[in-house]
Amino acid sequence: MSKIKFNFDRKPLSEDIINSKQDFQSILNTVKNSPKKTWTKYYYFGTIGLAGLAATIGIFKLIQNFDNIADETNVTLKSNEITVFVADHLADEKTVQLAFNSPEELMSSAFVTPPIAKSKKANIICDTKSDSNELFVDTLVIPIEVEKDSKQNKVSCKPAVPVIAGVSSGNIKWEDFKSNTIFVDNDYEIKQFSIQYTSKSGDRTIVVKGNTISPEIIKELEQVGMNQTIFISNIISASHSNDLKHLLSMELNILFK
Amino acid sequence: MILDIHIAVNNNIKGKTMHVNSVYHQSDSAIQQELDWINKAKADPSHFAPLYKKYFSPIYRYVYQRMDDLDLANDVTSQIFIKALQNIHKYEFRGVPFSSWLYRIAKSELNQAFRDNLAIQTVNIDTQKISQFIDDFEEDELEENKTKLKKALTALKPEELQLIELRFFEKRSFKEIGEILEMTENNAKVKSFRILEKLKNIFNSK
Repeated sequence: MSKIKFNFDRKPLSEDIINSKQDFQSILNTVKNSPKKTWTKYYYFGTIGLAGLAATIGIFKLIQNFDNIADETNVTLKSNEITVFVADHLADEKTVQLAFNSPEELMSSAFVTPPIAKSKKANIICDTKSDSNELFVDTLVIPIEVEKDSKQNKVSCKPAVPVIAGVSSGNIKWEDFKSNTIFVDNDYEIKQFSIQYTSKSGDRTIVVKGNTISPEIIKELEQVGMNQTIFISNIISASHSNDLKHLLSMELNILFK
Repeated sequence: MILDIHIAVNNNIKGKTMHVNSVYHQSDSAIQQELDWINKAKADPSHFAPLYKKYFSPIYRYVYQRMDDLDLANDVTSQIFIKALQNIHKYEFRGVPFSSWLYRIAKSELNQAFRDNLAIQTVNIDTQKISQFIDDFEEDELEENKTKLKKALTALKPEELQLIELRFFEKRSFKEIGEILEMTENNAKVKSFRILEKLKNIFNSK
């Protein structure tokens, strides 16, 4: 502790002495004459305000230039190919790897270099020989029946938003989260997704087949029992005619209380 | 309950009871009147005068209790009220007297004065009152006990010493201590008890 002085039995001050020290006028004058802080002056706010407005408009314009999601990107495929839709903002390497079997296909695909030009053709070869009913993350071998006569399948680039209990991103109550499946719309069914969360043993990323959060994952989350943010990504859905859609990711804040 | 009895017994050894600070514990009407003054002062600083007049003495005593220089205590007290008036627009009523807010400003200004080496931190002790909370403080061995007490108080952490001063030297209630030190009343009570035990152990150790 810093130096302390001890006084024993110091004579207490009388009220008269203390009252004689009062000088409110001096206090008032000091406050009135104290220089105003720069940030409280009007011209400061005027200058800062204008600069802020200019920065906001600039950032807004910048974001608009990168936003190509709404544009139609039609992917026309050859026979024995599937129609795959990938929104521009999801066109990262991992997403592409899900759709292609070789690096060459990856490089020639329409999904590598954003922004995607309209009506660019893509070669997406699907392994139709596989009789597996499983879906795998790293190669996305999707056994489907392909019509022999080729047909151009044009899919509009309308972004599809998956939801759990009506929530696509943001806060969700635990009771809503654990008892629900991922839903898109009546025309598409979720085939596969990745879920990233924190369990008692650390961070986990699990690939789930189907559209329901598995009971094991639910159990792990319940064991942690604390509010956390989970990510559901690489969501692949299929239509009744087996058109695949790669959907927007979900960021959910699970609330236990 | 047990803690209260323990401390109460110590304080009543010589039949003296702990008087609470009447300025702090006010009626609802007094608090309401304070609020009126504060709201007026927010609009016009000159309306701060009644508050200044009401709290000048307790704040001055609080400051002087902790330093040895009368003029310096006056300067620090003035600085406290200047700060209070400059920031009155930020004040929000939280169901407790305005003095709590003033004491917090006072604590901050005092610490600043000590840090800037403008004042030496002083602990002023009334030896007649020490035996109320330290049983073995015998007046016939005063000089020896004074030395022991100085050592014991110096061994405490700053926040512990502060609590001892507020509770046992200045006779403030736990509620008031809680408001000044920004803790709950119960917390102030428990901490006072623990620090007192620590002080007594140090005092009685060889």
